[in-house]
Amino acid sequence: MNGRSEQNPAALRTASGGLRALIIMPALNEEKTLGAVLDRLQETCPDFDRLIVNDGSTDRTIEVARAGGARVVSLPFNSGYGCAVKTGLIYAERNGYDLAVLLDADGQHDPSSIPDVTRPVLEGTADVVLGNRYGDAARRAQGSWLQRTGHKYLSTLLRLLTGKRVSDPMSGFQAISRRALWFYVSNNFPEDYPDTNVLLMLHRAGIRFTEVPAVFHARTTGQSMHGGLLRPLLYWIRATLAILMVLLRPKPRKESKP
Amino acid sequence: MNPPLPEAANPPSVAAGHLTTHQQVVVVVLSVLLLLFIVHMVRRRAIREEYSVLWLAAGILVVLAAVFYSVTLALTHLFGAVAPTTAVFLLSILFLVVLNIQITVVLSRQTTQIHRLSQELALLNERLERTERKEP
Repeated sequence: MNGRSEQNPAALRTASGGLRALIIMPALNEEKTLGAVLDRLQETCPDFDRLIVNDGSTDRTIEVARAGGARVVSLPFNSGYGCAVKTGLIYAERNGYDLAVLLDADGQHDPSSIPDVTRPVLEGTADVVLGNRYGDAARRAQGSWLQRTGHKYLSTLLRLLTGKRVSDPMSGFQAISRRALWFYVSNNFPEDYPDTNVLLMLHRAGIRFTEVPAVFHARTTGQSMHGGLLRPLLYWIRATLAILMVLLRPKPRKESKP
Repeated sequence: MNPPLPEAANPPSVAAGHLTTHQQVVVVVLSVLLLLFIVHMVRRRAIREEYSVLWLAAGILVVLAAVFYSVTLALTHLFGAVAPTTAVFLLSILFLVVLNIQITVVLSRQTTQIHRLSQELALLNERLERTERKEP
């Protein structure tokens, strides 16, 4: 646990089983919250390497990330959340990480839940784990009515198609095992629309996923991708279409290196 | 107090079986101008050859439709349309739809390619910076 040095991340080992772990945070103009999140990560999981994927920020996100001891991969222009996530996962795959954790840079996902989210991967019971914001009844009230109904609809659809119960299928708080990285770095990963459809693809690819309760915070700054009245409605339609498309395509398969 | 509507003058060529020479010249001149413009753009490499094919084909087809008007009339009959204008509009819209689909396909491909490139650029940059700092 101790003897950690920022200059030699390759020597770092996580507390659990000597695995190399990387926390990936896609960030678009998160200078206000990123510093605090990195500080929290330093306290709660100092053994994890941290990577900021800068998605074309126009503020001081990069400087804040570097000052907080994170590595920075900077996309030349804004390319969207899915593209940023994929970039981070390609980084994890190429640099030999055993475990990747996706975490929002806006402070929504509490780093104290990282051990819970990574546990199923470390224990070998799942390859992809979603942190679920509806862990207890108190948090179930979070989010607008439309958002909650949307989650419910999508999780029902997913249950019908995969037989798995996932109550928060659009959670961006995830742990991904090396065993599942091939899928994310391949063309199968729907960069333009990573959502419930990804879980269906994982199911079809034979990658085991599960969800665990995690601590979420309400956003303090910035804008949610899913706010408003019209957007949630369009969102359901788009998500449904994306799921249909997955069913129309052949099952994702592990290929030799692209 | 409604003034009587003037009798609609029967347009001479709408349902008629031929085009006037005047009409043919107008159509042919416009199409040839379009063709020349497309060729000019390809020559200047402003349009890639692969994307000029649909445009050139459309220009040539319009010339043929004006010169061999009987073909246009046959097509009108085939579509079950009354006036040749309907057939011509239908085909024009069809052409625009096909062209738009082609553009959407190209746009999607390029978006994917640009994203792949930007990812590789970002990853290489990070690796280069690390190498320069002599980090692992």
